Amino acid sequence: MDKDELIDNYLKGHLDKTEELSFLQKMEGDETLRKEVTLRKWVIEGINIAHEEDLKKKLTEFDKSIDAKRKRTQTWYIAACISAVVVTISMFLWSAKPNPKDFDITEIGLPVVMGVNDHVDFNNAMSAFKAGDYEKSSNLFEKLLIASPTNDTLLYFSAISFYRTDKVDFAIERFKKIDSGTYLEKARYRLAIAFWTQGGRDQAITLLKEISNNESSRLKNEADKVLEAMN
Amino acid sequence: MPRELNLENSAIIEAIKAGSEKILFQLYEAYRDEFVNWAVRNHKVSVEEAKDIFQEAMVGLYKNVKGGRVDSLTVTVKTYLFGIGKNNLLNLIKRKSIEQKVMAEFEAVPEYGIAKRYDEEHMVYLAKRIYRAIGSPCKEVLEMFYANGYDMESIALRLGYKNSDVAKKKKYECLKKLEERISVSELMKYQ
Repeated sequence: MDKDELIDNYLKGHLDKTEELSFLQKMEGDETLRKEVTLRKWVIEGINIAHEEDLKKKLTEFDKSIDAKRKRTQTWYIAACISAVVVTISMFLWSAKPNPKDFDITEIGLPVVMGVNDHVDFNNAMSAFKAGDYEKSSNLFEKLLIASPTNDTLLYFSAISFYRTDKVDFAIERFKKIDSGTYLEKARYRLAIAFWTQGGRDQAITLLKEISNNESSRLKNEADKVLEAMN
Repeated sequence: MPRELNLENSAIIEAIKAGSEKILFQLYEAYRDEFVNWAVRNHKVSVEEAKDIFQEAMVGLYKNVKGGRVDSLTVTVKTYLFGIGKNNLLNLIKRKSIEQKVMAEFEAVPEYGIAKRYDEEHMVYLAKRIYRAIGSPCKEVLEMFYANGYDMESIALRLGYKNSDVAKKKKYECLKKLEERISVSELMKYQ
């Protein structure tokens, strides 16, 4: 072990008893060595203090980073809460908006005549319609329309069945074909509702105003209510 | 809410001994709030003072582990850390109280004692200042050897020296450079 190493080991407390005693004896008679040891002690202390100060500085900076990190997390949390509130309010407003389907007036259907063979298919379609099975009724009315494509009763109930199964395009197509007969007025009203459902607001308003302006129309009140809701 | 550290005492002590600063930051983050809240509530110090004391407690823990004074603990590292923090806190309160009494209870210290202590502090301060200015790679070599306690082989590996002999030679040169500068500074004081 050279002198340099010996001094370090002495100051670090790494010498065993014998080595330490021998070193102390050596120091007693050697002033230069004593000075060297003192100087090394100051150097080591200075380095350690500098290192501790650096560590303290790093901890202070880390402390700030913890607070900044938590602040960021809080900001995100607040932003998330605000977003949730905004989404909830939007959903509420959206759900509060008038829904065209709320203006789909009741249609009780036609009586089913039992025991008449010619009307079996129609009866089945109407029974399905009355039972609320619009998927089935739309299929059955469509089959009947192949034989009677201009029959306004079949067109009307087929159109309602399509509308209620969200096939609004088909419903519009069939309502449009009704240009006379018992179902004309109701078909015009329902066509307006179907247009509105599809986003055809202007077309819907035009049709509804026609009904509303007709004082003798049985659907005048309904048309007025829809127009009011649309405004 | 900071996470509690699920580490054995021995693992923490070993990590500190190996020079890991990450473990110190983890300990700091895990226990800072609890210590600060306790100190502010029970001893009426400010949050900043409490944080400062806890940071010093962290340095104290580091120093004691590196100095070989904490090889094993009968309590958790957290309890040990809070113990150092509590002592530091009581010292601060005592200091504050002494400052308030100003010189009323001043105890005379022998003149030569003050002068000797002053000289020592001055020399350590000088060594620290020159060490800080010594530049690379001497600063790193000396820090690794004296402050981090790494052996020559480890220093050679970390700083890319060929072997431990090269690292040892470098450390010797850096040490001499530092000591010479301290001696020159001291001599200049008397010229």
